Amino acid sequence: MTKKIKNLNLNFGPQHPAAHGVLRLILELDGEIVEKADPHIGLLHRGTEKLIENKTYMQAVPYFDRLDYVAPMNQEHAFALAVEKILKIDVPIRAQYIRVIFL
Amino acid sequence: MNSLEDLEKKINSELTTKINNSEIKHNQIYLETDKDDFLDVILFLKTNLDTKFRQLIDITVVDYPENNQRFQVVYLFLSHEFNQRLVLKYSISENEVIPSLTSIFPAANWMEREVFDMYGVNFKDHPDLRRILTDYGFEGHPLRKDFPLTGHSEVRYSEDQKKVISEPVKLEQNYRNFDYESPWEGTKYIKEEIENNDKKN
Repeated sequence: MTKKIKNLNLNFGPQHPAAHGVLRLILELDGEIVEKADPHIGLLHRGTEKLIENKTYMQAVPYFDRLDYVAPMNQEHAFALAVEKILKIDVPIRAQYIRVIFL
Repeated sequence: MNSLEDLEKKINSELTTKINNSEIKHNQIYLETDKDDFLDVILFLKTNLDTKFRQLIDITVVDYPENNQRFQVVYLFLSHEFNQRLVLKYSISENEVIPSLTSIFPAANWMEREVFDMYGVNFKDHPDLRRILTDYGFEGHPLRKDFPLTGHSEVRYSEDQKKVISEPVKLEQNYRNFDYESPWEGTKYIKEEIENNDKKN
């Protein structure tokens, strides 16, 4: 007797208790083994770059807090470093220490 | 290669005509090349023992609508061996198709999908060129400078149709630009009103 086996296509997310963000995976399963995965990652895309095109550097800062709610200060820090680099701003060493402690 | 100057010299002497311009800025090397040469340049930078730019950090595009060659494609590389970063740029016009980098850097796959999604730049020989970040059924390329900030359509739940529908954007309030240094300074139209009132009195 032969058994016909077909891979199972499973739609994982975007709302799933095991995935706490908004990630959707189209999975192709062979039993419990994932043969193929097609991630749809754009569900939380908020167009931060486009919004910042119309803002000053100072006004752009709060958008970085919202990129990653687990580590908002790190995102702000990265932005601050980038702006300081292109504008050639020297930050006092004390301020640099303080903001690293913030991370 | 430890110093940036040595590296710049090395790249220029090896690639000569393929590099249109090179400069050291912000402690990094910036190279300008052509669409036809960039694959050779990248292959050299990745494999040469004195450069070893073996990680692709990002691919992006800058849109200059006023230029003849509208898009400037930017590649960022990192050399872990020498702790150096490099920026490679070249310009293309709007409908030009550029070769995909996926054969040299597999990481380029999603980056090129993002560039395609955001700017509408097409890549030749890309294994899976689909939109990656925008919504299902989205039209247009949002990071082009001629794409409006508010977008073209908005989604809402329609009670009549019992489903989420997409319709043209209707703004309840005009866009306001709060461009002032101090929040106590106030917006422009308020300042003008105050000045006008002062003149009257």
